[in-house]
Amino acid sequence: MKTKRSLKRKLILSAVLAGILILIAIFSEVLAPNDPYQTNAAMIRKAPSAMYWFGTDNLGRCVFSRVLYGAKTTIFATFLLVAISFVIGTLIGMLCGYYGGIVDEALMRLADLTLAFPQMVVAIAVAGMLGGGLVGAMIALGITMWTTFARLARSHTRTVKQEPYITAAKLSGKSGCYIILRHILPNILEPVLISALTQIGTTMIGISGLSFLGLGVVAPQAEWGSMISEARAYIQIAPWAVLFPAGATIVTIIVFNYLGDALVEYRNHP
Amino acid sequence: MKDTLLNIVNLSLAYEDELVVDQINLKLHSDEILCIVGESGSGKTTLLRGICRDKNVLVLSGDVQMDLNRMGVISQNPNGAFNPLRRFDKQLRETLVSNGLEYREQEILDLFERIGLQDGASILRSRPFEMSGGMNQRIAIAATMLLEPKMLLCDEPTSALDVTSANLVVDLLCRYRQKKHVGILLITHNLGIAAKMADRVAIMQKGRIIESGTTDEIFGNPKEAYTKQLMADVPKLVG
Repeated sequence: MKTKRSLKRKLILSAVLAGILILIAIFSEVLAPNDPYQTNAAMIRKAPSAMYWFGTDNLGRCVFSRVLYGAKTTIFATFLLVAISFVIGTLIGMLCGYYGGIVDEALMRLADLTLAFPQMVVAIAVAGMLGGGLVGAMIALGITMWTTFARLARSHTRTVKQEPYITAAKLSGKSGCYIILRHILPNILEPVLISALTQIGTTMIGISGLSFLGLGVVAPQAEWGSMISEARAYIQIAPWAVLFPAGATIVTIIVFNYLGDALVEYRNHP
Repeated sequence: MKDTLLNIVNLSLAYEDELVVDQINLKLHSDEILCIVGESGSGKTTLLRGICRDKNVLVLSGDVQMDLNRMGVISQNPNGAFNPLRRFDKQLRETLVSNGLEYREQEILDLFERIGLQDGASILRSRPFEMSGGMNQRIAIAATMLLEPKMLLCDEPTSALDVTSANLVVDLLCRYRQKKHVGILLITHNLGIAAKMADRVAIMQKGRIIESGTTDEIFGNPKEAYTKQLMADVPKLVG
């Protein structure tokens, strides 16, 4: 059985790795040695070298610089989407859990309806209707994502609502809004935040997946999914143009999933 | 002459279609501790909830006469009395202000000291999750005392505590009663607690009071077979 100390080390390690990735995304413009959008007809599909660490793509663009800029797009879009879904889902969940009644019934049946379809199928359909683009992809994924947070927040709210201090607050004349924000939200935040963290990997796959299918970020903007999609046509000639963005995607998803797992294990350890 | 703080007349309570409390008659006076004793599922907590007008409990018949504004409640769960994440001083301030009282930190510190809570200033700046169950229960009792209720309703206030903490809580309640002449209705399944602190004891079984009297009468000369069985079931310390 793992000790608390070993779990703490795992958590710190994964947090450090995640932090490094985030810093890379933030400072991508500083770290990139070349302009990621600069084409160069003389350097088309060049193998990795001292000048181009990850080689070049079909338009002579620096793959390494595009991977760094892609980190910014992918990671920030993911974080933004998870954050928005978290806020909306948690708010809906708390309102449903606290007030119950017809609003709770209606919203939870809507959540059930949304969850009846596979998330990516819905996302592809909605993104297609919206005509693609990063915002369209985020909306498409966000349509199903809020339900996870809403259900979790609702469940925890219904538990916290039973506590005597909530009854005392009601008897003191505190409004529902006050009770939700002051008493319920702080006490349900931890499990819902942990869920948000574990959603990052899935969301990243979703955004990259839609971009790969041409329904997310479109060229020339650097994004890992769209880079893989562009480069797969000439993978046999210039495999680095696929492998490096794919590798970056895999590593990032593993790191954030590892962080989510580490946090859950650490929290659940007695 | 003692005041009647609580008068329960022919009270029957139910959850949906299940009768849980059946024709209870009870009175609680000032300067008195009344313990209701019974096994789990006998309806003790439901009775307390009915007294507190819990909307989840259906009143089938009878009446409860008391002044809700002069009542304090101590619950079983010491960790449920406070928001675990908010500082005690903020929560106590909120409680006092909502009851029309002023928050005076020195008075609170004096009360903490009187009831044996050391380092009151540090306690006020702490959060409930940082405290043990026993400490939280004692602080909850202190918070209730700040409102100066005439009557305390206690739902198994020691069942979630270790023996030492339970003893401290029992002493605290007894001293509070002596000082302020309040009436205390205490629900418990622990005969030892009832024997130690109660003036009167009521034995509850399957929703009914089957026997009641002074502590000496109940423990010295129990009449009902169930009461005798309860006494006999109390584990004895070896040696």
